[in-house]
Amino acid sequence: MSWRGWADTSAVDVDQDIVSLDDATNTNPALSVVGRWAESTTFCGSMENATWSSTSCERYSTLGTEQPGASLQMQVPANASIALMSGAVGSAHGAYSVILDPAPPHAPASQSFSAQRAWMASANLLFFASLDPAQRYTMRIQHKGSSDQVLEWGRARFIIAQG
Amino acid sequence: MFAALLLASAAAALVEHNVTMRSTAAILTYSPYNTTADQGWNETYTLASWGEYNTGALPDGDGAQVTSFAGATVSVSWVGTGAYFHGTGGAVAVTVDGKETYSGPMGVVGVSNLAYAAHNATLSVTGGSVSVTNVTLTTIIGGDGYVLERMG
Repeated sequence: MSWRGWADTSAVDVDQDIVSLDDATNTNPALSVVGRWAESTTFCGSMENATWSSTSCERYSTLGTEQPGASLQMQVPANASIALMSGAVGSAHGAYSVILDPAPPHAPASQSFSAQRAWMASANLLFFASLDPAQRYTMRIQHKGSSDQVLEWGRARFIIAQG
Repeated sequence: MFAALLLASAAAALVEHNVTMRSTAAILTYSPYNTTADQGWNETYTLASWGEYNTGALPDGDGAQVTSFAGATVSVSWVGTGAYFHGTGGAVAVTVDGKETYSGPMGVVGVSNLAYAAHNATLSVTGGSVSVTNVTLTTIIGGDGYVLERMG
């Protein structure tokens, strides 16, 4: 797993980069992968777009699945106070859940949302959670929609207080 | 006296952190949604057209949720200390945890300085055409554990 971050005397952001899935095994050491996920580096205005078009597509990396129940799980870094996840929304996108283990302060362990929006759009906030920085968490995002809907996960970001 | 000093020290050391999201963020709940603006929230982009939507183009410009339907709502649940809805237009009311905290013109409306806990904020349209462009959530770096540690 590779982390990008920078030293600071105050809060820092740590982005968890998308790392490729091994085509043969569909695995990645940074992520616990359940189900079939596909990596994409382009994002288009229609799920039916087969070719790149500058008006219909943009460069945006995601891991996506259409398999109900498929999930991605990652370790939250130490001393994290806030967990964020971003990804794509749109007319082809459906319900998903995010599970934190253990449950974060004042919130349930599992929360459900819908990524369905009228227009296809990248890099939208999928999840926001306030964490106890003294606690270590695992965070999992799971496709809860139907098989004709998609979950496209872009990245996780953790706000970590320093000092 | 000593305990009070500890509390004051802890309060001064708390750092708030804001996260601002677009109106299309999945953690926001709109009702009614994806209709014409006179019947509920309508998702628009400043440089996108209905024709582009039908051809599968990605929307250009700035996005917003727009409605003139009185009673339309957008809500968010979060753990933190504040929430603000950003936009323009007609008249709105903001309710936090079931209590109205604002009633008046749409702008940057919401609440701050809440106790660090689970909250729900709901913006309701009460008149005119309202556009929501962004939402900002505020929480504290450190959470409960940070406060308790400084008090110990």
